[in-house]
Amino acid sequence: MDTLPGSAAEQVLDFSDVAQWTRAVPQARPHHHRLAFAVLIGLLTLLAGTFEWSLLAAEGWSPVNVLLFTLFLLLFTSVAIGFSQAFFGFLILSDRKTTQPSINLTTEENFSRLPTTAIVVPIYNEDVSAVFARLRVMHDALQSLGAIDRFQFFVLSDSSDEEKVHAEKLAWARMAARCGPDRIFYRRRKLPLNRKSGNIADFCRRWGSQLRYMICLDADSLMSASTLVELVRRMEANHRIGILQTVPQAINGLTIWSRLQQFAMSLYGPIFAAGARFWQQAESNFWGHNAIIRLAPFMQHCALPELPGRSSIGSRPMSHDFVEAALMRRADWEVHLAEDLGGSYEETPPTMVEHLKRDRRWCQGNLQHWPLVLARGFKPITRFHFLHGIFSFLASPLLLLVLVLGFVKNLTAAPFSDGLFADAARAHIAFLLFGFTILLLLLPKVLALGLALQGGRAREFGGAGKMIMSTLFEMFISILIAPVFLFFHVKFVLFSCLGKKVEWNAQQRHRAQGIGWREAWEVFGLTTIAGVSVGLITWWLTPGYLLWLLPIILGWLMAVPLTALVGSPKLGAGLRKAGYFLVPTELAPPPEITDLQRALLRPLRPNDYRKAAMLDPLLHHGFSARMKNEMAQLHRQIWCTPAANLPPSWRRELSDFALSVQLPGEELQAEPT
Amino acid sequence: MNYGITGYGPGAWSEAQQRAETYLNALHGGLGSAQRELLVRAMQSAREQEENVATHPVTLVMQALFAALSKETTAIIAMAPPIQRVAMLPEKVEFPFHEGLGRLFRTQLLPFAGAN
Repeated sequence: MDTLPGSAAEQVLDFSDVAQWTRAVPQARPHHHRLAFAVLIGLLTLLAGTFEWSLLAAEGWSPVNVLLFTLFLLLFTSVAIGFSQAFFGFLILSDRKTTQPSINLTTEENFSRLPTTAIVVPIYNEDVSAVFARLRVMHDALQSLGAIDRFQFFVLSDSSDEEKVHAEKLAWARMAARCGPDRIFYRRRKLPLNRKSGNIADFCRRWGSQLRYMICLDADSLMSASTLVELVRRMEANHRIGILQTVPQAINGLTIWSRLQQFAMSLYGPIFAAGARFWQQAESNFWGHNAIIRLAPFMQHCALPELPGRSSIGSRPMSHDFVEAALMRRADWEVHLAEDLGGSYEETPPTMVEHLKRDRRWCQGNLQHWPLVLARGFKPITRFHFLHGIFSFLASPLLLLVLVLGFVKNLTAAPFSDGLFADAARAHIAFLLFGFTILLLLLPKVLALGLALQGGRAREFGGAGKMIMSTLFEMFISILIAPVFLFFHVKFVLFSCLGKKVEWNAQQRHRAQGIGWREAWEVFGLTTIAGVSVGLITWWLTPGYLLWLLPIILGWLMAVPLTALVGSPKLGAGLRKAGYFLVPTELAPPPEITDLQRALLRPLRPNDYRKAAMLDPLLHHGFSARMKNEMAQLHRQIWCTPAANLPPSWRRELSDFALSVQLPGEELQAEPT
Repeated sequence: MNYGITGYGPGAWSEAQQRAETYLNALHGGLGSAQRELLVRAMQSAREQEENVATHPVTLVMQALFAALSKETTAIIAMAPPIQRVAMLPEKVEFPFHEGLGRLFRTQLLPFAGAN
């Protein structure tokens, strides 16, 4: 069992045989990498700070200007961090032949030496057929690879909807009957204490001591068999690793919004992930899913602490993943990001509304980490992760404060003036600074685009022209939407400060109808009103400042139509047909994705318990030992009776069942005998 | 055309074959060679009985199939593996700064961060 903390384990175990992958991350270099990372951030911030200094110093150092300068430095550092991470990622990937080499395992020789690993899927009122379709695909892929004996699936349900619970049990029974005993298990907690983290902890307490690893998945996660096996192999190769996180690629996007994210994650994601690994090294983060966890140290060190005081949100951390990674690091176990490993997938929110709902949860969760930043015993990089997470949401109210201060300053200094900076030289510097900031925000995307073009990967994104156009469109939409997110992040931070609780709702992962204009207005109406009001007031009082606020105001004004447009699956399909926002997993889908798409198309078998138990051969045979005699007899009677002799209702049920058994496009051939 | 003593035509046999195929497809998630073999055996067995019994082919084929399937041993499927319960308790995390603030200010300043 892996109960030794990293440092002690290092002394005891011989690491001469560590995998090539761990050799590529020498232990002595993180400090050099971090120094380079910090120097670049420092230089960029210094350069921008000098511009800002020259602008403000000319006006004199009033308290407002001191505050503005401090806020500017804080906000710009955040921009510089993002850019630096992408820049180093770009350098690394420029030197690497492929961004995500797929691991193709074909032999069975070493699988028997791997320990049994649990694939754990916590669910909460999810689309049951989709969840089990993914599990079936992973199961079948592992079976084809010959590694199925090394894995067990655990579906951990916290569902409260009784219909969903019934459907889950039925889907489990069907899959269990199909996969055989001891392959897939199902547990439902009656009392869903501490949400997802509580669900995982409950699993650990019951079965964790019998297993060495668990691979944590979300309800929408999918992983290839090779990646699942490779994760276990990497953990076996380096006994210092406590958590190994993969970088999931977004798949199955239907709306423009999810296709935009899918495209961005596929094209820009690799350089950000490579950059993250460059400076984080063995002190990476855990994202809560699509990762493998060494159970012994996880159970020993990573139970979530209670945060101090009374909070309306609750005293347990909501964003548990960051905290678990922090606790793992505190106990000297390593947390790695396997950014070089493909075959890991997830789905993204289909609409802006769903995206914002998720952001609201993340916002409260990240802000909740505040006491942990200064708690005793955590590593400095861990504190930085916490701070960075908090700042990703806190940045919005700070930016709004900068804009308000700029407005007030302009109003008091030169009411009804024509411009923010009266003299041309200062206006020139201001534009330069603005341009520099935009450059740092957009350059990573251009670098990622250049990398794909240079590496001959344009075809994977639908060709060079379509890829460039998609990138430009993505940038345009991002710029338009950023102010909307600013508005909502301010709201979320305020709500969190006021202690308003976030409801735990199941995520709506697919929306066949998209989002209507009415719904968009209900959510973003206030944003539009804010855009009109701020625009009018600024134009009336300080017309010169309107130019600076225009990108923000425009975003707020466009929020409703933009939400309705990007949330439309019809338009998403249209763009896909036209060849825009295509991603490699669509143009050359790996087998696990094609299998999933086929599995998702399969219509549902009857979900009525009694009908299913009577009709379904899988349930009949899988659970024959437990099935009541009358039920078993009825099953045989139905299947042995010619259609003409069956009561009409059962004839219909049987006919529907026969249809549901077939895959779309597949017809049973009646051969003459 | 000889439909046998019972007089059931190809339509009835086709229905029987379809029924058996559906059953095996649902049971095994597809029709592999093993399932095809099972199907052929069930059909043959039904054909042999057809001469003497005036039963519909669907009944004959499915009964033969059930007889063949009942020979396959089915293991008992458990919903969850045996539990070996262990404790998973949080290790102590100290918040000196936060507690210091709490002593200074008795009111709750930041609800999301717990009471100060």
